[in-house]
Amino acid sequence: MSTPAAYQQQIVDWTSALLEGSLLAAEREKLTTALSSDPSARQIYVRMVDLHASLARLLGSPARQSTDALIEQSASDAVTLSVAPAAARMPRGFFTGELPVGVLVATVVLGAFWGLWQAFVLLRNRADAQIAANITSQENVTWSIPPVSASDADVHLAQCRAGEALQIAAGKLELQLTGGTRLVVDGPAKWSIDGANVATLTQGRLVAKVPPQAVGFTLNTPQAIIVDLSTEFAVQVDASGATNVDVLDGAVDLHQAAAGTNAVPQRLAVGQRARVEHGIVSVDGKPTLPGAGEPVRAAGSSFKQWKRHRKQLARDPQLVALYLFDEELPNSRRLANRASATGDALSLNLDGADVITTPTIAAGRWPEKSALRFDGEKQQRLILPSHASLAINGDLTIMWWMNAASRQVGPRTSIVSRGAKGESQSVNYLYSLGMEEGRLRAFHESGRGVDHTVLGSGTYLAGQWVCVAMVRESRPKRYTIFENGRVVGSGEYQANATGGTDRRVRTGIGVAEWGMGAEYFTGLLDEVAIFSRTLTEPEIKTYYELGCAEQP
Amino acid sequence: MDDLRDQSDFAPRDSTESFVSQFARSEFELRSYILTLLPHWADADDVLQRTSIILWRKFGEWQPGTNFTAWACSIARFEVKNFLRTKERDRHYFTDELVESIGDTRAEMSVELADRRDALRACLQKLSPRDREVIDACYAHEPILAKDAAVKLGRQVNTVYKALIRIRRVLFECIERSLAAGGRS
Repeated sequence: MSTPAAYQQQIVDWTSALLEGSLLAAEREKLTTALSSDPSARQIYVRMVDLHASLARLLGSPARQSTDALIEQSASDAVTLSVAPAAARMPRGFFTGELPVGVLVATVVLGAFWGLWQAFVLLRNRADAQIAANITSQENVTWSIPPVSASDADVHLAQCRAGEALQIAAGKLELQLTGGTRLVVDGPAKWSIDGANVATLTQGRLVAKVPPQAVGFTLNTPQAIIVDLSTEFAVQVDASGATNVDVLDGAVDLHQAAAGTNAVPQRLAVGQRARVEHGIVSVDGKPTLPGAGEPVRAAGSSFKQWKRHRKQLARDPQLVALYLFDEELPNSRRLANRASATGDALSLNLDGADVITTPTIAAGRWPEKSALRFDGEKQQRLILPSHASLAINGDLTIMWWMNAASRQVGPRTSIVSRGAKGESQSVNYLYSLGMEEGRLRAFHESGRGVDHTVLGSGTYLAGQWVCVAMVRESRPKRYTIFENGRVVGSGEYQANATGGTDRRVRTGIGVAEWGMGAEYFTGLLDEVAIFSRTLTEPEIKTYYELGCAEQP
Repeated sequence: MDDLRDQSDFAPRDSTESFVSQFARSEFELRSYILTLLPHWADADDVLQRTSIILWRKFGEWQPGTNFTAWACSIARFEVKNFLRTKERDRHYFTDELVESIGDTRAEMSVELADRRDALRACLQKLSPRDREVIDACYAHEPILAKDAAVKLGRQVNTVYKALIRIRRVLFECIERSLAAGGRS
């Protein structure tokens, strides 16, 4: 070992932490750099991971050990391999000539079949765990290659395993991926469902309907990769692999398969059609330079497109609250919660008891909508109705649009928070997202008021509309902060939010951390959304790109 | 990728015995290989399952007499990359380039790793009962995280986490010493 001991120990410990999912971002970067540039670091890393796998094998469950027992048999044929575990359970003396030879032979043969069957069951069970889609309906389908899970008599409602090659000669069927996307396949067609949110169409036609929670759904074809941005699109692949894409709603990113998804995609908006053939992408019949696609805004009214997206978003079962601040104002004093999951339970009245000082109505970022103006000096804020769904300790995403009057480099300012004054298990902040010293800030408490804070790495823009998203992932414990669809900060935290059960705990918008001084937001706020799940980077990027009144 | 899914890829039924035999012998090596490229147990498990299905389908292409494990690992590497394509914006995963480098390094270390596994058995015997309790709690069924092991043991998460990191380091160093001593003798 020529590697210095301290260096070796560092790689060992980093690898160990990586396997635990607890490696900090800065350490991860150092480990990655070492692995990329130093062969000896890679060797240490490989040894350490193999140690981990070996411990699991040596100390693992009897089920795994029985598999290992198979491995350890270096018998040259399957019969010997299969008999061994069966024989191991037989009484001593069974093979010592005390029984007739015929019984012995029969037992060996049965044992062989038993062992083979067990191994087969093991493989089959593994395959069952990889269900990627369910077939939900069929019309006059003639199968060429049906799902393995389908019985000969009936392939209705069968399940598709990840990577399973499927083929129909005729008819139409609908599948639902476990990620939520629905695919309608027209025969003849060849395809596979490769994962919860990935599919491959080798030949034929399908229509993909992608709900908000499945944004980022990816369809591979021989010549193209189509990444969905929350939409509905149709794809046709001919025998040569040439691919036609029609965007029926929303937008998609189109990549050439040969270039991969790292290349700049061709953004296609609703009503646009593209064809990829022999490495050339044509949009609406006009060739484009490979990789030169620029984001294209949707045809027609952008605001209408945004409204459609919001409407889809509102149906997300893990959307807890969505305040649009537009349709009901200025004629109504009621702020409706548009999240289907919670509905009116979280709507609030601007003149009611749940508002301390009413924010005022102002022009929004679109001509068609308004926003709420908060004047920090007047301590304007909204207090949301008390509702259990807002007590979120784990995965969380909060998004909003804001046009801050300044960078607010003074004290902390919360945009959305749930907490109360005091530090104890029962009055902890479950989340408080806003700004601190001109930087975006995510914060919560655990235990008896232990702070966990992550700050954005850069300063946010003031005096213009900005889309902010903060994502809290409880496993691994990490905050990621987005500004205009880009990550501007991320960091791990030590413990998930706990407590927050005191009656004084409440959820507010535009309000500072309760009772800690004049820490009120100054500027415009719009479209505040609270999810009890982590949104993906593509989802957030789409949210920004479709929701931005100016072309990104 | 399409060739993996062609109907002709399905292995004939009468090759079942041979496949089960080969796969069972290679499964651990394959799992360790995938885990090296995807150092998260659940991810590696997913890819292993998927790889096993593809190996079954493609088994007709394997040439008896050649190294089944090496063949399986080459398919597993491809599947790892497919998996990573769905995660390419996630900084928790290695890049394609790094996967290639680590995969190449891992492929050259098979013999050494087998020796290390033998040494590990002896090193485990040298652990103190308390350390053995921690390591058993972490690996008794599927490997679990230190925080979950802490619940099982009724100890502080941080205590168990630090103990686990230390024990792995101790085992690693014990293996190093054991192999070095063997080399000298």
